[in-house]
Amino acid sequence: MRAITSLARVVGLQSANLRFQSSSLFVDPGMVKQKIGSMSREQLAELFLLSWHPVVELEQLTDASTKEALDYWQQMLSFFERRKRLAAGPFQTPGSMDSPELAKMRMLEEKAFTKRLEELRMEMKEKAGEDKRIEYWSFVKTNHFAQTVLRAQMVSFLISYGMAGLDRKKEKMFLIPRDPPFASRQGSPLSYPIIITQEVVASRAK
Amino acid sequence: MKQEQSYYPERVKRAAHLLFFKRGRVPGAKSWELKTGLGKEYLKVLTQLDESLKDLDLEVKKVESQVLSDYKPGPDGEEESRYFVRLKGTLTPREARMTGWRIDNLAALAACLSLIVSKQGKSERKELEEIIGEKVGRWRALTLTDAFLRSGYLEEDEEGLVKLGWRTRAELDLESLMMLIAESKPKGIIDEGSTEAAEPAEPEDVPAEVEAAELDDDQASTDA
Repeated sequence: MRAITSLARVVGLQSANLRFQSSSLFVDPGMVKQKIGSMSREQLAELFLLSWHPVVELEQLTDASTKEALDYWQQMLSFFERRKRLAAGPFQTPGSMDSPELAKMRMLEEKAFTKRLEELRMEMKEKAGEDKRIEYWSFVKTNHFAQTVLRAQMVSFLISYGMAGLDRKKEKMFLIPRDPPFASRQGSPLSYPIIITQEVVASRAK
Repeated sequence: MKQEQSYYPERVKRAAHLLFFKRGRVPGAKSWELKTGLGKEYLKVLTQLDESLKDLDLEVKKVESQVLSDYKPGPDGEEESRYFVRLKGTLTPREARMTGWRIDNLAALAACLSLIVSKQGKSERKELEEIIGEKVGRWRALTLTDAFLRSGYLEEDEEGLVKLGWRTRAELDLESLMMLIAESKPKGIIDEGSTEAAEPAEPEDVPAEVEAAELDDDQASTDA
């Protein structure tokens, strides 16, 4: 019992000595390394926060900086003056361009996508007539291959959105135009891959 | 006395402007700047500002010139000090996130500072990177050391040795940090007398610890 008490006393004295050393910033680097190594990041951060008093500083506009900015702005040459220094050649004044011109340059769609879909559905309905269905290739095919691909793409959207149905009978495919209201669940849950190459389109024309 | 009371408020405002708004690389204001802006009695004005800031848990902190290696004597040859406004108390881990420093970064900074202090103020950069690397990984250790140097917590001298920077002198109570580290126990070691230290810090536990640290700070730093 006496031995334990003495040992506790030694530990206590060591602790007091360590405390004294720490307060005078004279600590053994080996001990510090060992302590740091044994502590978790969270524990170290917590100890740091207990000794940390961050400086308060503001970075924002002041009278002086506002005046400096104003002086800079007033002394700055105009855009045209500065452009002269760059020797950029004659200046072309900005012009305007209307929507058809932009559409011609393929920078703007002529019609909204949904409007184009609706027009295609109406066309399909008209061509289907009393049969209420039309053979896929006879509807999609045009004289221009690019146009044919575009129509095929639009038809795929009509089918996906439930605005038209696709019926397959043996080797033939029929498009069935639908009337509103359309629901996405009416769209085909299955995918039908249709190969469109110039050879395929040509063979379908026969 | 009445004359003083009506005279100081304007100067106190001006002192607050000088200390709060950052004009150069280092925040705060030099003693000669304050003397020019506030007059010879600038110390009285700063004392009054310090009084006013107490309610906001802020204080005016003076950092002596001998510990700020990059500060030279003022124009009139007077020994130059720098004054900052800093938090009087401490931040909780949750609040500390608002300062933009991650917990990992703070832990790495604590490790760096304590090692430098234990090595009598200077340490090799490589050694610092090794000790941080053990906590946060090698690559992060490299970037963090750079970040600490940039923000002024550390300084690198011509010989490539890293020492404590101006921000450490302004913001850190090093005695308290060293004491806390010396007395710390690794998590998992639980003794009956100090369960708080061994357990993860709960938000409720923090104020009590903060209070204890504040007592030490009051004695150490209100010299403005």
